[in-house]
Amino acid sequence: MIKTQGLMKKFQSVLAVDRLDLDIPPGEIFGFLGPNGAGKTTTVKLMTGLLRPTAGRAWVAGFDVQAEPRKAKKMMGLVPDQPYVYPHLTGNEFLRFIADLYEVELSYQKKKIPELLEMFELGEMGSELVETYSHGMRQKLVLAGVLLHQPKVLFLDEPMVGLDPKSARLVKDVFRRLSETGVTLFMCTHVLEIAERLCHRVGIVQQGRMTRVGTVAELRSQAAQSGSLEDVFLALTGGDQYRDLLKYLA
Amino acid sequence: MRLLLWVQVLKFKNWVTRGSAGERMKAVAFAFLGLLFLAGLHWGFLRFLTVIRDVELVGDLLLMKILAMAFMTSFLMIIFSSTITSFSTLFFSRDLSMLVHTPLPSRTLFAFKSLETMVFSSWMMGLALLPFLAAYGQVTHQGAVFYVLLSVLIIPFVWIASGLGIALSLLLMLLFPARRVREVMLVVALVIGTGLFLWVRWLAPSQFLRADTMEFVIQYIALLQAPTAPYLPSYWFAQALGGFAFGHTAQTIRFGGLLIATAMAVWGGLLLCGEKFYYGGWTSAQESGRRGRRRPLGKEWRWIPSFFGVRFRAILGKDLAVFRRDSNQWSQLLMLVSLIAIYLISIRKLPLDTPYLRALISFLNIGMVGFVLASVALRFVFPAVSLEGKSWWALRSAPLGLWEILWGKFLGGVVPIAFVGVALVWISNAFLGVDSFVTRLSNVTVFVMAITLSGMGVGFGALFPRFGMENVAQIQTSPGGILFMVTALFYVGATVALEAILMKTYYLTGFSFVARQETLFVFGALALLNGVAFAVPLVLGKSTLDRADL
Repeated sequence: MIKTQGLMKKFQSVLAVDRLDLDIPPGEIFGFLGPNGAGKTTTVKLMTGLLRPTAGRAWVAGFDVQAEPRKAKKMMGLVPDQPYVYPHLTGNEFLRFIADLYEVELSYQKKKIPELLEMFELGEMGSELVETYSHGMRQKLVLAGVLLHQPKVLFLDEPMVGLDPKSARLVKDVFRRLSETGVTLFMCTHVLEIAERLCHRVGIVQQGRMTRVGTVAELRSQAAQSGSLEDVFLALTGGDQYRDLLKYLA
Repeated sequence: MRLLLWVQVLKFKNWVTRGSAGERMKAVAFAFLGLLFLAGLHWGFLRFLTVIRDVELVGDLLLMKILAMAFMTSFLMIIFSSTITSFSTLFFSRDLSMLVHTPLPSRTLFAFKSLETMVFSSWMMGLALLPFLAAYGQVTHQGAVFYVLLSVLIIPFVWIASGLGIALSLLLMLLFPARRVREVMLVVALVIGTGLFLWVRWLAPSQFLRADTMEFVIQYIALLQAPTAPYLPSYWFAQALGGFAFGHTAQTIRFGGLLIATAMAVWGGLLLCGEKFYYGGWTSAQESGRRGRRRPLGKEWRWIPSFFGVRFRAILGKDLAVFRRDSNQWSQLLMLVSLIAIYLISIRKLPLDTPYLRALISFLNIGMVGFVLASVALRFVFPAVSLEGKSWWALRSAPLGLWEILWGKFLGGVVPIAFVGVALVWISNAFLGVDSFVTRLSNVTVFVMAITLSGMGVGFGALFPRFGMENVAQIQTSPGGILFMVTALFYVGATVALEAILMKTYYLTGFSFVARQETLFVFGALALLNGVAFAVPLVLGKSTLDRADL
């Protein structure tokens, strides 16, 4: 459902994404992990058509993102790393706007928008301007927005940031349910516990290169670690050097 | 305070040293174009002031009066501009939420933000005054000391005007807490109205053109000698400079001293007020009590005709809802209304005693309406792409092409611009009593101009997108905005120049067969000009957005 071949992005002298090859089947939840600045968000932008690759190609639901952007975009939904939403629109208006951009039938919108707002506990806030929303509420609004047009592929860049525990649980359940119905989810996250519980496979990216990919069990054996995904991740990315630095805080 | 200013220096240094070669080239090209434009203005002012100086008997007095008029207009505009700017810089600026939590005294923060406001609100006016004052110095044969004096005295002049603007916004924020934007804007509208009235009342520019209506020369001289609002710093500035230009040193010292002392007093008073009221004003500005309108779901943009299609309706409806609720846009609208009001009042008061003068002014009116339309396009169409801001991802990740987005922006701009243009030309033509040929010519020209300027506005806005800007005023005054305005003025100038040939042909030959070739050439050139001005910026803008790293 998602495929990339030699996908590369260079910003002047910085290589942000380095020859990424991916093949993610329908219904899979793929976790994309990596330290800050590793190239996760850039990869999402390349696969959703927000950025042009320096080299390589990406396909979503069989459509080349660069050659057939409209067809590809119609099949996907994006939750960006920051839930920037027009502050002067109300929640209802934002969802109507997004649904109209995807040409969702008005009768379906009228039924679905109140349902989605209710599901994300935003029912009371639908007529309020987005500028009055908290970060978590905006995040939930964006999540509601990507579900409106029933996409086949979801790109989620840190979807849990700012969510309260109840909402986070709800969102995880929604993701599982979508996966069961055949929707593919590509999720960047720093919350390793979520990746461990939710993702079928995980890819670890460092300095633009995907260095490891596999199920959590496979990564464990690759790293020769028996602990949690966090331990595996730190062993693979060399992140446990921080222990030496802790002495400065004493 | 030193630390805060140092951060600004670092920001500038990083911008200069870390930018790509392309960005540096762009900056050099902009600087070159800017200098070219200033040189053009200087040439125009020099010619104008030379003609004025050579008027027998009253040339010097007229020069002095023009200086006072220029300063008073600048003074009122800086007050207005800093009132509007200070809402964003002092109360809604993004860095404030970080700065107020540091141990910085609120007085220091207020002083820093006030300085920022002064720079933002006056640099453009200062730049526009530069070629005028340089020309004034040349016409009155001044040496280097005049320019030194000018550079020194312009600081307290701008300081006072900005200080008054900031004080006004501080007061408004105190009186109308919790983002009562409607009330604040109403007061600002009142201030504009008063400013406009005073401008017309004190300057009465049309009277200088009507020397023939005065019974005696002495009466005209008395009018010129009458002080222009003597209790305003603009008058002191003009007296100090004019006094120096005409050798009255005592006058220069007196009014220069008054200007500096007042600037110091304004700054002192402002700091005291800031220390007492700023923090309270800022906290109340963070409270938001606004609600959207409770509309039945699905009826949000039902009033937009369905032939636009679902996506266009959504883009248009969204843009209009955002526009209606963005207080920065309201202030822009008020500025536009004041610009149009000044224009119509001036037209109404023009002396049009001869048919020749009436025909000439009627024709030049097309250019003036073009200028107003260019200003409208700069305020409302040019920022349309950039105003998507950080929500741009929502449009770009949706299944629609860039042409559709730009087309939506164009449609949103062209309808109100065409309406303003046609209404303006219709009213001004009625005031001028224009003949049928000029009426037809001006109606068609202004309609075409509205379409071309809207296309140019969207195109330039896409060519120089500023998604990170905090408010619409910053987008307009960006280098791209200035380049758009300069290009739009060239376009308007070229249109008027080409139509001057038509006018000449019409009045001399009544469009006989002899003149057919000339007429065809003008229509061909106008079609080419409009085609290029409309399409080139749009094509370049689309390709820039296509390549943009978001």
